[in-house]
Amino acid sequence: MMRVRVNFDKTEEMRFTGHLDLYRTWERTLRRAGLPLAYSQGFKPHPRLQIAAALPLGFTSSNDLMDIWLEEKLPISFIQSCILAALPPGLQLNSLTEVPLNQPALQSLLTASEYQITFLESILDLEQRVQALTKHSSILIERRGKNYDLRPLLLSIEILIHNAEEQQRLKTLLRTDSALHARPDELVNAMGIPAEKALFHRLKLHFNQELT
Amino acid sequence: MKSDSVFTPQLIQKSLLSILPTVQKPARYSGGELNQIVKDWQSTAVHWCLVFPDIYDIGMSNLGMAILYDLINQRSDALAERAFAPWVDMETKLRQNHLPLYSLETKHPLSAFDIIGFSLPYESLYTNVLNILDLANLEIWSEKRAEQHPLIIAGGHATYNPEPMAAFIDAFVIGEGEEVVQEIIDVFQSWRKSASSRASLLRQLANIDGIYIPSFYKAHYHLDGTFSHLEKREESAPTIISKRIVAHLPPAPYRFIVPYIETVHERIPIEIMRGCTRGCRFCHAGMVTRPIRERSVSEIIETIQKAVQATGYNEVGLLSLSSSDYTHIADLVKEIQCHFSSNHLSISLPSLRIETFSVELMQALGTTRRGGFTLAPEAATERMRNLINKPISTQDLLQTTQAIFENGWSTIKLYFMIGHPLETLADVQAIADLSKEVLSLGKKIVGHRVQIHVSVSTFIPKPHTPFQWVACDSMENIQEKIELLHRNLRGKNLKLTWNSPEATFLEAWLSRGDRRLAEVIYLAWKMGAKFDAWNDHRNMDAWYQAFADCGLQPEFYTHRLRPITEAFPWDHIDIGVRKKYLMQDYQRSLQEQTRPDCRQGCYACGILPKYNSLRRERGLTWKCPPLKIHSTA
Repeated sequence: MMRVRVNFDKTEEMRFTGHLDLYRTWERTLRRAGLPLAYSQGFKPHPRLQIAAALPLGFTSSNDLMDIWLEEKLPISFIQSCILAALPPGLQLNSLTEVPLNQPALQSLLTASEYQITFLESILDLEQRVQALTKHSSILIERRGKNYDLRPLLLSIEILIHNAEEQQRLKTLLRTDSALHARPDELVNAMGIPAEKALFHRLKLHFNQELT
Repeated sequence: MKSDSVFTPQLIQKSLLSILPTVQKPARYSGGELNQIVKDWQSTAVHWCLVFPDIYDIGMSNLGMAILYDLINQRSDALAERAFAPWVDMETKLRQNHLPLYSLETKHPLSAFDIIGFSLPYESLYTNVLNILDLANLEIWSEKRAEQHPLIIAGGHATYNPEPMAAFIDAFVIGEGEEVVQEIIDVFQSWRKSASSRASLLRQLANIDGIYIPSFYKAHYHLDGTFSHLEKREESAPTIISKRIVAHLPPAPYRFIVPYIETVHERIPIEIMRGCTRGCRFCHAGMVTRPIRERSVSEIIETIQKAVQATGYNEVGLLSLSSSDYTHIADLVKEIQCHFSSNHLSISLPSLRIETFSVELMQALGTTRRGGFTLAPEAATERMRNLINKPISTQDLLQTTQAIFENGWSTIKLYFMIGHPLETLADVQAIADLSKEVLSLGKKIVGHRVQIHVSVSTFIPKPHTPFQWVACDSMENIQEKIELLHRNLRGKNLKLTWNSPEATFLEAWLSRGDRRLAEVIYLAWKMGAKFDAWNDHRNMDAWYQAFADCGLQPEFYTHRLRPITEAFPWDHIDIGVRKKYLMQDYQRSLQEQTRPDCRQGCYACGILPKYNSLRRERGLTWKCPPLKIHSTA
C-alpha cells in the first residue's frame, strides 16, 4: 500500500464543478491513468481518495491537495506520467509526494484558506468597504437559516489591485477547520457587493503542521 | 448577415461569468468537458449544431447524439457542436440579458451555424424545439426563414410521423442517421459553392434517400376532418420516403464526452444490436428499427476497453431492444468475465427476456443485486400477452422470478402496460394478482426483505405498428384501472408507480397527429407549454386551450378506432415493414394469434425485399431467416 499526496490546480474549465463532482472527476481520471487504486470495502467499493478541503461550485483553486492510496508501491515519476496522460481539462498536476500511511487525514490538519477575489465590475469605493469590514467587531452571516459571525474567521484582508480601471483584486485569509469555515463569497456579500460580480480563486491551504 | 452577429463568442463567454454563478448546475452550460471536440471555426467549412431539446443531464446520455457528434467531427470539412434546452432558471437569465442560446464548445450563437439538427427520440420534446428556435432568435415557422438562416433538420424515432412538426422543420431525416449526415454535408457544400437559392438546397436534399422536405407537399383532408392525402408541390420530390438504414453498424463510438456533473446515465453505452425480431405489437421501436444488425463480440470487447481508457467510467451499458436475442450473448458474457472481472467495472444488460437463462447471464456478469432485477411482462394474462404478441407462459414467468430470488436478488421490478386493446378489468386485476404471487414466492425464498416494484404505463397506439388502427383507452377506464391497482397493490413490500394518463394522451396525439397540429403546438408553446416530458412542468391547460382555439379535438386523434380504409397522415413514410403486414398482424391479434420470434421463421414483413439490394451490395450482413410460408388463418 502506498499513500500519495497530489498537489493540483482546479482551473477555469472546472469552475462550475462542485465538490462531489470534483471527487468523481478525480476518480475517473485515476481510473483512466490505470493506476492500481486501493478500493474501500463495502457494498459499493470506491477508490480511496481524500480531498483536503471542499471547494465551492464557481471557484477555481491552486495548490489544492488530495491524498490517494495505491495497492502497490510505484515510483513517483511513473505515477506522475500516468496521471499527466489522463488529466481532463480543468485539472492541472503540480507535484506528487509519498506520505506515511499513518499520517492524519488532511482535513483534520487544515487551519485556514487563502483566497483571491477578482471583481468583474469596478468598485469605486473598494478601499472604504474593506476598511468598514475590518472595523466591525462582528459580521453576522446567514447560512442555511443559521447565523454565524464571520469577523473572528477573517484573519487578514488586503487589496492587491486598487485601480478601478483594471480588474480590482483582494487577497484574504479565512479560517477553515472542521468546525468553522468562512466563505469568501459571503465576505463579498458582507461588503455589500453581489457575489456574482466577483470571481473566486483559492490560492493556498494552511495546515497546523508543515506538510511534506 | 447573421441576425446574431453582434453576439460574438467572447461576449457570450464574458456574460456567462456573472450569469452562471446564479443558476442551478451551471456546468450544464459551460462545456469544456473531457473529450469535447473543439475545431477551428474559421477554417472549417460546415458548422453543424446538434441539439437535444431537453436538459443537458438527459441529452448527454443520448447515444444518438454521441454517434453523430463523433461522425461529423471526423470530417475535415465539418464540425459538430452541442446545445441543449436550458432549464427554466437559465432561460430566464438568457432572456433577461438578451443573450441567444449558444453552443457549448465555442459559444457561438445557434444562428451562426449552417445546420441545426434536432434529435427527437420522443414527442414530448416538440414544444422545446420551438422554445429553442425562439431562444436562438430564429423564426419558428420554416416558411418564414430565409437563405441566411441555418437549415433546420430533425431526426429520431418520433419523426417516423413527421407531420405534426412539418411546419417548423426544413428537412427530416427518416431512419438511421450515420450515412445521411455525410450526404447532407456533401450536398450542403456543393450547394453553397453554387450560390443558389434555399429552395434549390431543399430540392437537392430531397434527392437523398431518407430525406423528407415537408414544404414540398400539401396535406388534404376529407370533409369529416379525416386525412385524405398529400399532394406533391415539387415534381422531383419522392412520393414515398423510405427510411434509411445502414447495412453494417459503423464502428461504435468510444471517446464519449465525460460530463463534470451527474447525468441520468453515468456509463459507457454500447449498442450491441440494432433491430428486434420479436414483433411485440405495441412496440414502435421493434417495428421501425428492423432489420437485425449485430456487432461482433470482439468489437464489443475492444470498444469497452477503449472506452474505459478514454472515459474512466466504471459502468458499461450493453444496449439493444432485446439483449437475450443477441446471437452470441453467452460468448459475450463469458468474454466480459475473462477480460474485466478484476476491473471494478459493472456491466448492465437491460431488456432481458423472461426466462431463467437471463438470470444465469446476470449472475455471470456479477451484476450488483442492489438495483433489483427488471422484468417486463407488459400484461398479466396469457390471453393479453398473446394479443400483444409477447407470448410468455405464466409458469415460465414464475419460474424466472423464483430463479431471481434464489440467486440473491430481493427486489424485482415488474413493468406492465394498461389500456391494451380488448383489455378487461379482469386482465388488470391479474396484474395485481400476479404481482402478489411473485411477492409471496419472494417471501418464501428471501423473507421479509423482498420488494416488488410494479410500474404501470399506459398503452399508446403508435404509428407504424400493428396497433396503429386502435383507439386509446378512455380516461375513465384508465383511471378506474389505476385505482383498481392502487387498491390491490398496497403493503410494505409492494410499490406501485404509474404514468400520468394525461402525459400519455399528450404523447398519443403528438405521435398520431397530422399537419394541423402545428398550430396547436405553436399555441400551446405560446401559452407556456414546454418541458412536457416533466411531470411538474406539463401544462395541460395550455394544450386543451390550444386545441380549442384551433377548433380541433384531441380525441379525434387518440380516441377513435380508425377504419382499415382510412389513410394515415404518415402513410408516405415507409419503414420497410409493409402496411398490409401490419394490418394482417392487427387482425391476428384480435383473434389472439401470435407471431413468435421471426428468427424461427419469416412472416414476410417486407424488410427483406425492401433492402435486398443494399444487403447484397454490402455482403449478407443481417439475418432474416429463409422465407417459410405461414398460414394466415
